[in-house]
Amino acid sequence: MFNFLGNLNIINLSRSLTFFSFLKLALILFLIGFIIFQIIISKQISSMEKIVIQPMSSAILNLISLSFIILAVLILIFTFTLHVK
Amino acid sequence: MPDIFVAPNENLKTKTEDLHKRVPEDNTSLENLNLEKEEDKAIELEPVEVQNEMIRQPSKEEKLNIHTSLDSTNSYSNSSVPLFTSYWRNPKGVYFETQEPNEDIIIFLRKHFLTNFNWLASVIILLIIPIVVFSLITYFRYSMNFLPTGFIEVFTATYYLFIISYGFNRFLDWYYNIALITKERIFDVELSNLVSKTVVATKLSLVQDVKNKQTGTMRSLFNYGDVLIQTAGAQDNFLMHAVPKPESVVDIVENLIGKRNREEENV
Repeated sequence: MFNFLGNLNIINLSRSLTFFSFLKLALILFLIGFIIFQIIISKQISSMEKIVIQPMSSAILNLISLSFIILAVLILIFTFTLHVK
Repeated sequence: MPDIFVAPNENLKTKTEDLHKRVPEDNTSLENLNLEKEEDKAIELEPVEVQNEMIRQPSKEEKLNIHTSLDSTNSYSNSSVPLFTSYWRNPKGVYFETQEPNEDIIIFLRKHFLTNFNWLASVIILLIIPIVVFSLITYFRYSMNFLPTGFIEVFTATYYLFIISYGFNRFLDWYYNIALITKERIFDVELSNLVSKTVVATKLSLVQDVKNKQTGTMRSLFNYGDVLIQTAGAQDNFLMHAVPKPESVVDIVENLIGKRNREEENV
């Protein structure tokens, strides 16, 4: 059983997963989730403009949402470059 | 006072003044004489119409229109909707998907801005926390050498990004939850958690009852509360949460229902 798992590198992976590498992985997953969520919100803002037009243009709100996505992508790239033991 | 009751007097004045000023240079011509006679007839007829209009009292419908227009012009000279407003009469620059050409929006409603206090306060506190923590670390000269290089920067940036985007999403949640009352319909847009949206509209003729509920100190102090609009049959009821001046909203809806009922009775 253990040999089988060892062959699949699951045990080796869990042993190599230190606290900081786990944090890095969690951060990467969180940022990916965040980017997806912001893309959904950006789509929602565009769809809301079709329902009700308000004085504050949805373009501005979309721009803010887009800036969050860009920032998240930059942080994600920086996270990949982190060296953890 | 509307133009209809003022304009005829002014027209009459200007026309009579013109008549006194105008003296035909050549009275011998028959054509001029005939034209003069026709003009005189026209001028003689006009005062009768004017008198009739002056005597005629404005109808209830006109009174309602006058009331709303006066109210809007007195209280808000510029009727374009500001960014953080939650109650606006006769708004400009607001349109909705199924709006008909003559369907004017009478009130634009959102939740009172004070309802954002909780999340605004929590966002501000959460933004301050890292500053306090880092200043404490530097004050006590606590070593952070055990952390991998760049870890603090990445975590702080992610933390701030998350908090600011949380605030932005809560703002959008408030910004896109609106209710519009037009001369024909009530239109309600609800965006819950920015993922699901509900758009409900009903005709004013289907509205049966309007109620307002104002409980709590904050609501009484800042004059906001819930407005419940009950509709007939299988139509959904409208519950507008924490809207400003709920009594005024109820009055306007009641007036609109009354106006519609009067119209139906007249037909």
